[in-house]
Amino acid sequence: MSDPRLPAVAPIDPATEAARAVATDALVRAAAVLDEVAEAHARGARLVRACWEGPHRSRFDAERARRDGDLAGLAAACRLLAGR
Amino acid sequence: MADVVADPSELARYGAVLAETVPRLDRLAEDLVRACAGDPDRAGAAAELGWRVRGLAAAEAATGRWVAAVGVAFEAADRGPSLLAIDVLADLAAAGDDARVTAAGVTTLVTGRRAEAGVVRAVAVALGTRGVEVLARAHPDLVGNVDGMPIEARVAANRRLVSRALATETDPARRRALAALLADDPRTGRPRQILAFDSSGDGRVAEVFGDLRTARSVAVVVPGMATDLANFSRTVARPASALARRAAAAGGPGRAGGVAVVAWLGYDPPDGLVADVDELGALARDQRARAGGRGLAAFVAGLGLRTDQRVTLVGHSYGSTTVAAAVLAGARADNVVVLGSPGVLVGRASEFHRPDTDFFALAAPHDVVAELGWFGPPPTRPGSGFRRLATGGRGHSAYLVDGSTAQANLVAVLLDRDDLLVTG
Repeated sequence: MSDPRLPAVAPIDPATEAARAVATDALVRAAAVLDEVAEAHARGARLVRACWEGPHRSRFDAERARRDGDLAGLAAACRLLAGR
Repeated sequence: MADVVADPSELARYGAVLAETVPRLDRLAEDLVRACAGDPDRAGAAAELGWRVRGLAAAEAATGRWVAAVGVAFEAADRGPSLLAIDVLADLAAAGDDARVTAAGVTTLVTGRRAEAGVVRAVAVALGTRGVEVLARAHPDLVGNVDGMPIEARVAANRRLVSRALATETDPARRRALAALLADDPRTGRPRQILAFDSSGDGRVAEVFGDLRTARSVAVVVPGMATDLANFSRTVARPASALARRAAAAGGPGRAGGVAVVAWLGYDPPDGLVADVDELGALARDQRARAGGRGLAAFVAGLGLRTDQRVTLVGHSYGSTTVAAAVLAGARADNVVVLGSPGVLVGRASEFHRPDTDFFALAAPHDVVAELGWFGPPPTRPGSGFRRLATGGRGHSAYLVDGSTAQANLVAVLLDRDDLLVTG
């Protein structure tokens, strides 16, 4: 017999559960895509750095560092949200 | 300290990598928002993430354009002020500020018109497709008539320029000519591909037949005296179109790899040589050819052709002198063909100092212009260094006639088929 002092657990709505699963999948996939994009951009940036020096290259490095941070941050946010 | 770029093509490749990932990121953002819309707990946060991914995609696209433009500027050996302009344009385009993109583009391209086509190409890369469209809407003349701008953008901008000119033109012959430029090409059913247009004075037009991107062989046909906007379609475009068609038929798919022919009236040939002599004196007689030659050299450079594409410059009459002036001005040319030439500004082909260029000359019987030697000895004479080819016709207008021996010889040159050449 259940304890009448505990709040009643609402039944899980199958439609909501399905929507949550779809969202979780999408978020995990998005994180993976962002990782792949970040890797592709980093690979290209390594080749560019090997043949370019000077003040514009410094600007490039600064932009690339900011973008790498953005990409990593977005991937992490997707994973965090997927875990909720 | 100045920048040093050991391999500019690496920067272009990087730009292409970033450009490829932009649609992928945009799709990702769209899918993410749609997939999470049914989850009330996470829909809002997912929408925010999608917005941030789209912003990142736009920023990466701008960075890619900027880096690629720096690469193009270095390929054009311009390591000076254009880099600053590229930075500014790429920043503005990234910010989506149409009005400022337009203003900065105008400022840069007014300078760019006097600069090398490679610098203009770098500016166009920095602006991106959307930036160039914004610029073309406000100032079609700064896209349609600027060597180095992307071909598709030039064609679209020139249609605007032709429409504008038609709206104010009063001369019936020129009105008919302008309307014809706006009509579809009857052979392809597509709009005419106008690469350059200017209605001022006698008018300037360039039109391409065939696909410049895929063509293995590209010819530029330059007309001579008394050619103008009003008679361009009949006297220049039609023979160029026929030449392109014949070359495509003779080459066949996979053999020639495609041929494109440009009809180029990008200069102001004299209305009549006698009148020109009277007005300007003997020294001035080749003045327009030399000015046209510089323009032709810039035009060819601005087409952005690959190194594996063969370029043939074909000049008829005074146009042959213009072609010669272009070669002297450094125009890219694998072949030079002169038709009914009054002279090519040098005594021998070797004086062009172009050992990798093949020179051909045609002179029909009874072509008095080809015998005059106004601008140098006839290039068809023995020892000139030009290979003399047969015409099969008579007179000064025999050369670009559809189905003629002269046209067949041009086709053989375009297809690089020595075995098909008919010497004369």
